[in-house]
Amino acid sequence: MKDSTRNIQGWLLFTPAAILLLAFTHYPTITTFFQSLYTNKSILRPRRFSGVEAYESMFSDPIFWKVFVNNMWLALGTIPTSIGIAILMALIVNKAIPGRGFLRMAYFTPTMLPMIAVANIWLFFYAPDIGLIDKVLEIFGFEGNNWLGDPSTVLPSIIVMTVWKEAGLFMVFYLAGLQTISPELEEASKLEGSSRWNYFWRIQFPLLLPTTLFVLINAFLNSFKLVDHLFVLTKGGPDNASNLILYYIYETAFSFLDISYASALTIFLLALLALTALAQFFFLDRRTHYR
Amino acid sequence: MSAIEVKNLSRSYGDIDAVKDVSFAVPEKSFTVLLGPSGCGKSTILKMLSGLEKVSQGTINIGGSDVTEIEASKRGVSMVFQSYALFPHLNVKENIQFGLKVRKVPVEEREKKVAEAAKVVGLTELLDRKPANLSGGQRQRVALARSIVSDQSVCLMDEPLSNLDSKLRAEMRDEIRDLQKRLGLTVVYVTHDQVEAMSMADQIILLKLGEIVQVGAPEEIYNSPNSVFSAQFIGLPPMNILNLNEIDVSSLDSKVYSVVDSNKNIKDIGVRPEHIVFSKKGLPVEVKSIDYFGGETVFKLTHQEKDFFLREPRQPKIQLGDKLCVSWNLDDMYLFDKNDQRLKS
Repeated sequence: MKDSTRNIQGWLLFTPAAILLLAFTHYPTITTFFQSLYTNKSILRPRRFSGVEAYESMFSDPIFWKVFVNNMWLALGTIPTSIGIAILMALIVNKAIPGRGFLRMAYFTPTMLPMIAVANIWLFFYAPDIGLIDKVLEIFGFEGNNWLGDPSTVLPSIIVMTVWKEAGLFMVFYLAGLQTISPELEEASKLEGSSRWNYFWRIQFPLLLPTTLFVLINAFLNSFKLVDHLFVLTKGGPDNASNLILYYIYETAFSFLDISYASALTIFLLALLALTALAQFFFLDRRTHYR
Repeated sequence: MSAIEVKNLSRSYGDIDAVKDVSFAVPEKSFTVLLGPSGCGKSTILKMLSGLEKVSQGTINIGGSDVTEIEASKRGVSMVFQSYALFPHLNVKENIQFGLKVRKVPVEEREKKVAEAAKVVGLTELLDRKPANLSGGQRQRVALARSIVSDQSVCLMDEPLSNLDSKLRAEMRDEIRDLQKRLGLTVVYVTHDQVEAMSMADQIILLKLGEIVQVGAPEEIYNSPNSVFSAQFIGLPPMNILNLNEIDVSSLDSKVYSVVDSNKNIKDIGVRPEHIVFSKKGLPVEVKSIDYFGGETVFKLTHQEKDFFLREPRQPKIQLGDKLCVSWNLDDMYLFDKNDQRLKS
């Protein structure tokens, strides 16, 4: 076959994917960027170029800073905990114990549920006075709380729910990672007198680093991407105490109809996620052992 | 004195008995090979010796004390695994000193030991490499070095050469044997390869279906196998076993015939391929195939649809399909009863 026909064939094969990517990812990203540089169009005023005005107002917007900090707390609260729990669960169900299949399924169930359904379940848990948590606290003589209505407890409540939802998914990755480690390694380290704890830190955990890198990136992205539960649980309230960037973007764009500002927020989120993913890759990749 | 003494050792998994009532002793500074086909329980025995596998019944004595219930790391044994069990994220040096670090050996002593062991196995240049960047033979050496630095007098090896190509395997066979002699190690070595067993062992423990068939030095088992199984497992090609009902007994040499005819308990006779010779009279055969190895020639012969082998150091002018006769000396013939046990004539 001639080189030119080969090239044409290559391009033809690439085209469908390229069209989809361009139409639904790159084109919207670019238009969003341009929209953030213009004011909103209205009946009274036509659209005009405003440069970085939208970004300036973003950085002086106290609500933006609040949702940004909230998001950071959410990431910090969910990622280490869910990774820790995921590893622990994976270690448990990787052992030959009775009822292993059932345990694996039980740990994975929250992951299979849609976020909306999870939020509905936890709505009942957190309900003041009649909810599961308050009922249990009542038995032990503690006072209940309006968990989702109190600005000081609403974000931790959402963190707990997110950990519950995510840990099962990460467990599956860790389980797969653990199963690639030869059982002879454990036998060898046992013969050398290594404790279970030492074996975990010196052998298992380092060998799971590629998995951890993957999970870390996913968990970080998820903490910015997953906002479905806010629609059911709090709508970002009270007083934006549980509001997150993506939900704020949604509100700005479709409730306040401020497309220009929403575009600026979107570009900020996009840049943040892209930079983080790159940084994690470059930083951790060098220290991670791949087989 | 024995370094290891095993008494009435058994291991069962549910209804399956992997090891049945096995007893043996391993002399100090000797090289003992547990030999047998797959599923004979040899690896299970080794794992029970190491403490990685629980004992169902019986006792294990290592270095004069009963270790049956003692955990693996306190038994005074080191082990070389079939897959070498090297830690893939640690370099050669870290792999070798893993156990020393666990036992909190001081840094200077650690460095000294690692350097010595690396020198013994010829790894000094490769201490910074990761296992992924080593050849099979080098990985094998790292596993040996790890075993050496542990300073245990007993070393257990689980088919350590099975992942190497045949040339390297022959080299490593010599090297391991040499190392064992030099360091005065007591080695228990598991293999299914009778060549490894014959060339390395001081003592072979031949196993079949979880039971010991025969214990002895290689030449002892080769020259006086106690059963059909021993006779056929050791030696390549294996000993020819001829059922008296399937061969034309009357054509045998008269001396051989009189012995065979005198004892009604004889079911099979066995003759090693190198003891059979082409002759003017004797068992009529047809040449079915000829394998020429240079130093020797192996003929596959058939007599009344029964195949057997003949090994010749020379290259006689014999062709496929030739019809000839074979015979053997009375002294080279083994007799087996209906339970496949050897009959002393």
